[in-house]
Amino acid sequence: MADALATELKTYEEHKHELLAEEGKFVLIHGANVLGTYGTYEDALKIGYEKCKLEPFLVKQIQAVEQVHYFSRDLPAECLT
Amino acid sequence: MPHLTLQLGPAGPLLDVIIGVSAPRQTALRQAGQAIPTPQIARALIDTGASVSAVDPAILNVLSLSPTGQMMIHTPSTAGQPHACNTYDIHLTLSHPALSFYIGALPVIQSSLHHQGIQALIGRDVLGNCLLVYDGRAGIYILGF
Repeated sequence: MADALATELKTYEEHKHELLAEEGKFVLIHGANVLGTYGTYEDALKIGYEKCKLEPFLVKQIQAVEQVHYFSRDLPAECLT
Repeated sequence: MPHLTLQLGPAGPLLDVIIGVSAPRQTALRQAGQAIPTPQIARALIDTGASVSAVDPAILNVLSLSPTGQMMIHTPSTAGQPHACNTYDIHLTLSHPALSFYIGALPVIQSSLHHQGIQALIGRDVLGNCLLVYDGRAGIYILGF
């Protein structure tokens, strides 16, 4: 499952420099295509399902420095790519 | 603020939540003529040490979810090096006969939790919209939303 969004994540990295003009917003990516940026996660997800139906797509917040999330308890390695 | 007063058990502040596919995915499934997976009741631990919420893979598998995001996480065993982790969009209902709180679209990570007697962690992403009071002396906690 770790590679399910590999194409979309590559597209994000390729467009990151230009996307940073809208830092904080959520980008919607399907394959090699950036479909748009949205003010909230919910809006990006909604448009994602409208445009991509049940095909893979990525919703990601645009950040110059990737936010890291913390867990005080250990998580099994299955979660980690 | 409406709130629940619940008992603290040996495992901490637990409550049952309802987890299903997100509201946008429900719409997509309906338009594709596919069945919407039945929402699942999960035993959840309120975990202020988790910055995002997590769900056991057994629940996510029943909901037939695919990842729609990825985030970086640190745990005690990642040794200072953050790891990428897929996220899945769900809807979450904190449910109680007296009160309920619904989030239509919430990104969560997958983590095997069932061996701890729970199936979900409610992290600070959800708690950011709540009031939480932990009264260890009285053996209760208060959750307002």
